[in-house]
Amino acid sequence: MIRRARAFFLSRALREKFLLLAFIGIGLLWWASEYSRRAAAFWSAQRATTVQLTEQAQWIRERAAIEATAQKTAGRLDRGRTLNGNQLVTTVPRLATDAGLKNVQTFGGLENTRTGQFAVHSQEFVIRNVDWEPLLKFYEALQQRSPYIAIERFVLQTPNNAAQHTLNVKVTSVEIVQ
Amino acid sequence: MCASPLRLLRSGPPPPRAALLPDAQFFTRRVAVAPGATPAEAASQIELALEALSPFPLTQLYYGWFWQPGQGHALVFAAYRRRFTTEQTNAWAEAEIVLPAFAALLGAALPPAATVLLPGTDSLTAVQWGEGGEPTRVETLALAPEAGEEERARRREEFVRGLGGDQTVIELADTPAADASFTDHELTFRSGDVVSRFPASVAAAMDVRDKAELALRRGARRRDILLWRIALGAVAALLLLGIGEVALIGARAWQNVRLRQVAAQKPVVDRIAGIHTLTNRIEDFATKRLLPLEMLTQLVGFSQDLERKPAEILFTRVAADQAAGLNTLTIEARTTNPAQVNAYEATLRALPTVLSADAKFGQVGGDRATFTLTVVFKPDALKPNAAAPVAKAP
Repeated sequence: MIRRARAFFLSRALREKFLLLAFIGIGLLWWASEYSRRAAAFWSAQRATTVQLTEQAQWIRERAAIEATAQKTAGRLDRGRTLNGNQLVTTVPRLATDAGLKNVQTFGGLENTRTGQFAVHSQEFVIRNVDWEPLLKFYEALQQRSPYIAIERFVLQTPNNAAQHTLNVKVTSVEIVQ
Repeated sequence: MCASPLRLLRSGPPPPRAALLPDAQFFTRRVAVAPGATPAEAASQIELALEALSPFPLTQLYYGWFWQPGQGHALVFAAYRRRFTTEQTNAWAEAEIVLPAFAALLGAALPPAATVLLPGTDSLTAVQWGEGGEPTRVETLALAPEAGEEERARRREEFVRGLGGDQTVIELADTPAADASFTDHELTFRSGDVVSRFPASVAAAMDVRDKAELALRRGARRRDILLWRIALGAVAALLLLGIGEVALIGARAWQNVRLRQVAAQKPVVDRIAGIHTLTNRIEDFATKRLLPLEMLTQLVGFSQDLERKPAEILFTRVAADQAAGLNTLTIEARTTNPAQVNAYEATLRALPTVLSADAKFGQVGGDRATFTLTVVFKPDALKPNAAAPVAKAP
């Protein structure tokens, strides 16, 4: 078959040979370019999938250990002292008030993350016109509730009047749901 | 061409176009070639001998020769150009080889002293093989067109007798025809049971056309072969791409199976990862706490005088964020004595709990300046409530 094709090709006029070559060449370039683009995309996708599968396999392999650790962590916490979202929003202003701070306001919404038997809630508070002594008391009260309450962000601003401050504090609480 | 390309391809290659010229137009001679001569040396020796033999200059002859490397003689055949009309020579343009009909038999492997009789329209040609198994003699008997069968038979008998007795005579029924089983390296002719094969280089020397024109044709042929090989390579690449496409389709099917597996495992994995993240976060609440005021205490000192911080420096903003780093405290401050900032920075760097302290000036005007101080403490260097909190606002 090839010899017949060869004889056919060689019997063509020179311009026809060049024309045939040009058609084949254009087709080859177009196809090769398209193919390499699709093959590269596929290769990249399959590598990403391989990485994903490897990671997933690792997580699944470590499932028992992770759940055991979670169980152990839960066992170290006193369920009665953990706070749900609502308790966080009410407890922090109460601690502030007890320390002598006023003007406690929530800032932004309550953030909740729940997985398995744990839930973590975060809320930002703004306390204006803060004096130093009540601030220290409030800070100590928060730290005493650790690890059930933790400070995630603490920003203290002092305007020109150095006696009064504004405190932005983002507080996180832990809850054992089950 | 487009009617049935598959049938065209399946039908096999056509035989090469060979123009076989009447034997009676040619005279033949056997000329000596120096032993060990290369084809180029043989060609010049043969042309020189032909020039001496012929009454016409070579430019007025159509000539060729049969010589294989190692042979001591070449069989030369030549014809006066004017014996061929322009129409005849124009028809040769499409031919791949042009040679007298008898020359097509010279490559046959026949026993020594064999004679092949080749009938022509108005002639009968005898080709004799010598003891060395190579053609040594060619004789042509012209037959008048008006001669009857009996006359032709009688003259044939006389002709064969005249060649010498005691020979194997092979009488061919037809003129040789080029065989389709040719390659770039070999050319084959058949007539009955006689098969004549020529290596390409030998066949090229047998072509009687003008040698300069033949050189041009050979150049064009080489170019065409190159173009064919390029085309063949391109087609092979297209085939490979086709195989690649099939492979890609298969690979995509495999990839889809894996993607389904990823999707099926995702909820389970997300849950495990979530438990892990949350457990770590809860562990960190107990062990890795953000201690902004403990860090601040380290910067200003423990006494009522805030002895570490120069009095000219006033903190306007103190920020600690777990996202920025558990041990990092960023302070915005202003001063009425910018020169104190470097000294203060050096003091902080010298503290055993401090990993790094960097002050960057913001606005500076006269003796007033604002700057940002970033202090990173060593991990686990600070303990909750380990020291008295900052005695007063810094």
